Amino acid sequence: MFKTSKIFRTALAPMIISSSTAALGIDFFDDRVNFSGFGTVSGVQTNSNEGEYRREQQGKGADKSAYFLSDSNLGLQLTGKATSWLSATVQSLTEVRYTEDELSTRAEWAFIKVTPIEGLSIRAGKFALPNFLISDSRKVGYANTWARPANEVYGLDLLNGGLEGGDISYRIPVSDYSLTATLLGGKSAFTDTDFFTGKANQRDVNNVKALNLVWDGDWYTLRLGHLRGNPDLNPIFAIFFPDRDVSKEMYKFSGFGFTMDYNDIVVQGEAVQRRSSTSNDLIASDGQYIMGGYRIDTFLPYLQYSTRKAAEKSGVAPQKNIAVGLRWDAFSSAAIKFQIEHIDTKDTTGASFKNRTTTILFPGGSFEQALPLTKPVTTFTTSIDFVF
Amino acid sequence: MTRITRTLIVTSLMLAVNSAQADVVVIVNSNSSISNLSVEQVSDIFLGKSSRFSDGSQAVPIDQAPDAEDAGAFRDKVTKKSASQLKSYWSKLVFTGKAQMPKQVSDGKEVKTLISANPNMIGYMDSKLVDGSVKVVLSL
Repeated sequence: MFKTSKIFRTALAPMIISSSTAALGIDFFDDRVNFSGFGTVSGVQTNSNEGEYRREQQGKGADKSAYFLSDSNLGLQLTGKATSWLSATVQSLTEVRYTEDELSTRAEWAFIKVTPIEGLSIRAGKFALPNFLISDSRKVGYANTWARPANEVYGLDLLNGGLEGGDISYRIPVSDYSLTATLLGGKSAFTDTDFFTGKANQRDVNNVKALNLVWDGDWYTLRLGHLRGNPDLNPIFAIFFPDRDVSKEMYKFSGFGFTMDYNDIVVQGEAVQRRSSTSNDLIASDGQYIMGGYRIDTFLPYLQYSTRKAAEKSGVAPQKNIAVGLRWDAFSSAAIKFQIEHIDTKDTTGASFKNRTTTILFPGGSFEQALPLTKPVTTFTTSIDFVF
Repeated sequence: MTRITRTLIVTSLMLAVNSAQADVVVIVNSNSSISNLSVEQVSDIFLGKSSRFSDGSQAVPIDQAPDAEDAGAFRDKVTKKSASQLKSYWSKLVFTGKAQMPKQVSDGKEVKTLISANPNMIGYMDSKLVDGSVKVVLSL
């Protein structure tokens, strides 16, 4: 009891006294600490029971019965500023993650940032990998036009462990525009699904290195990026492919993207490539999307076309998606979204589905084989994105 | 004729009132070494792209609440984004730890009170509020 009251007196009381409302979140300790958050409440339903539609390879998805945890999430962030050049950020995210089928809360971001001179920033700790145009803010629904990023493109990157390491970023002003170059290094992770049991395990991706270039041209932004890293592959891989030196496997991911917002016309597009140094036949794939919309006051109707295809003669399943949606900025800190998608897997297992399986027996064992979808699937999404 | 004259007088009066409302100036502390800023420089500071003035000193932007009159004029002429576009823009930066949204106060008087006491701050307000405690660096 004594301890609690002491904590209250020394920490909580001045916090309450000095708190003030910020534009986003609440400021404490003379604006040195900011607490803010974001979230999405969403429901998805499809017209098919052939497979469950998933956003990011979760263990469960939507079919003819609605699923409310595909996109729903809650992020809480605490940012502390020690000086004008030193700050720390911690962000927790509650969501249904890769291969899991229930909500879990984890510290997704935890880093220290130093900005010694104008334009230069160095971060160390844990943060998201910037593998796409909006990869690090894709969980913040409110920050984006769409209900969810095109899975044909954003689902292509196999690295899902974020980055544990550091990055150095420098913004170079060029007349009224700017070029920001970011170099990063560290460790990430990918999900390995056991061939026999179907059980998912996280495995390390070491020596992750990436270069990211962003041109900020006032009403438009261009982005070019390349990442590579050495995945620690399951030893079973070497047994299946004895002719490959899988210990030297290099995973490569490249992307180009642009976004523009001019006279209420919004256009955004990206093209990405996934490659492997030893096993292109298994993972080589290209993805693209283009989205266009027109802002009418608080309404932003949009249309999107996205596609994923096998590359380098690989066996990656294709998928094509035509989406129509509406973002409505109904409240000052919340947006309502509707999105309908027509997804064609071209009679394959596709990219976004938890497929039905059949058990294949072989001498001494068995494995689960995913079944293809025989018809295109239409999905319906309604969501509310908010920030505070 | 009289009707036309009357209409003209009323219209010009309305225009005069409108332009008076939109007479917003960007200000810094009177002791600041900064004397002139371009719309682009102010926009960069208020959009989190730049955190320092041209002389290398720290720049701390002070915004007004989105529904404040000056805030509308400032958005039209400087950041060129609607209130919801700005919030969406900032949520992208804030939740990736890239920048913190400017502090918001309710009106121009509060902006002046803060800026007259802090040489690093920059804000905007109605030109009628200008006095010796602040310096105008840009007229909108």
